[in-house]
Amino acid sequence: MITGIGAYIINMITIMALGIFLSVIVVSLYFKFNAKNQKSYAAKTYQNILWSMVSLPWIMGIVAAILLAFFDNELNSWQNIIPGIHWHHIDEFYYKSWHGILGVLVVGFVIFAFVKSAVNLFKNIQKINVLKSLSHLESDNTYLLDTDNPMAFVGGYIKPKVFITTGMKEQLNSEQLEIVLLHEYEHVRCKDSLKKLIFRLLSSVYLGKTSIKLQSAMNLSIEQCADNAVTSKISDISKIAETLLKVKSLLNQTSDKKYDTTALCHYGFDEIEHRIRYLLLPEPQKTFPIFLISIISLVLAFSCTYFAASAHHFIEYTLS
Amino acid sequence: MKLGELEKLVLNYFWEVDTADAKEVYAQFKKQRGGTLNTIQSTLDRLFKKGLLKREKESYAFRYMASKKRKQFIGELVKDVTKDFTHENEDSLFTAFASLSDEFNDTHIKKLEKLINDYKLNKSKEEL
Repeated sequence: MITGIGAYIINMITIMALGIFLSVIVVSLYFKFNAKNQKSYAAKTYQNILWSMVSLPWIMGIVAAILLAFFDNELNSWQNIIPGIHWHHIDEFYYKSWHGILGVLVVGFVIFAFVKSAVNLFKNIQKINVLKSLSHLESDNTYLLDTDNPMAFVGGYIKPKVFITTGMKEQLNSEQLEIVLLHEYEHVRCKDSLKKLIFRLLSSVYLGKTSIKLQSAMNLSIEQCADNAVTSKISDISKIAETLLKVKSLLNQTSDKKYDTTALCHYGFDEIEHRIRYLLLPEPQKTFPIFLISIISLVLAFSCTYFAASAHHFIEYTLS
Repeated sequence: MKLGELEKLVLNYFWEVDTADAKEVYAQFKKQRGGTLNTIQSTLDRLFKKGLLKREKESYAFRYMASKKRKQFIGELVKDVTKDFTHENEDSLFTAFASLSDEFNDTHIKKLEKLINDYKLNKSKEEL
């Protein structure tokens, strides 16, 4: 048995896990029924909605843990306000209890996810370094790779660089090439590779399908924002749309289409039709649903705290 | 995998010649960079261990050659870089994403071309 601060921390992790679990279910349902609404929002606004969605379970988990841990004592007990909201013996932790199993599962999952991501990140950075060393430096931030595959992408996280292949360069005219590079520079400016990586880590608590759909939605928003940024330099939007279509056709001609878009930001992969429509049609005006998200957050904060306490009581009662 | 400066030079050399042994590589770089035969031998060994060179024993020495052509190697590395963050359970879901690409045929291209042309037409009308 552990007592004191150690027990506090492990019990808080258990509460957090229960809070995350409930939030993930609620947000997944919200996303399931609202995923089609992406078209109604400007890309930047939808990006903010997606950030809210992936961070909400973590925030709610922490809120539930803080509420139950720090306000659950005899002087300031939730028990007096709302019956049932308290955590028995938060300063005691038994290894051979359901808390122990849940705690080990949660900590194990977090360590596994962290180590897996760190290993992938390390390998990815090393490969990007090799690509850098085998390429020709075209300009400050741009590397030319000698291969026939038509590709343009941003690699690296802290100091991202643009890579473009000779296969891509040879098949585009100077104006199209400028559009592709402006798009990639926008990814560099916004550190989109790093954003995608953080988004992926945060969304790892969602079950497979939802996690990937969230990431696809984020990829699309990020690409739309980068396309939009090009319009400030190239006023003829149809030229940008034509370039997108051309690059997509070039990519389709290559045999291997199975690229993953999470690690990199690259030109011409993410749902070209949505991107072209987004460029050519008037920008959607729907604003960030601050009221709805605030309400969901408040209800979730209470529900997660109540759920964690109730689940705790139910399991304790069942096992006793 | 990180490539040192000499490794990079040696690899580039092998992408230009078919095969060479350590002495031939040393002869090539002796004037440019100096160094010793031992340095070249250990560089060749490192490139072999990294899978970038192949080697065959010829009497008492190894003859080295690039394991892949330059364009092929870079092309594969570019694809590889994009696959590092693939989910374990992504296959089935990825099929859905890939199938979107597969559906991107001539009809799809024509539809988007029409959309762009309509936009241009409307723009020119507005300007008139």
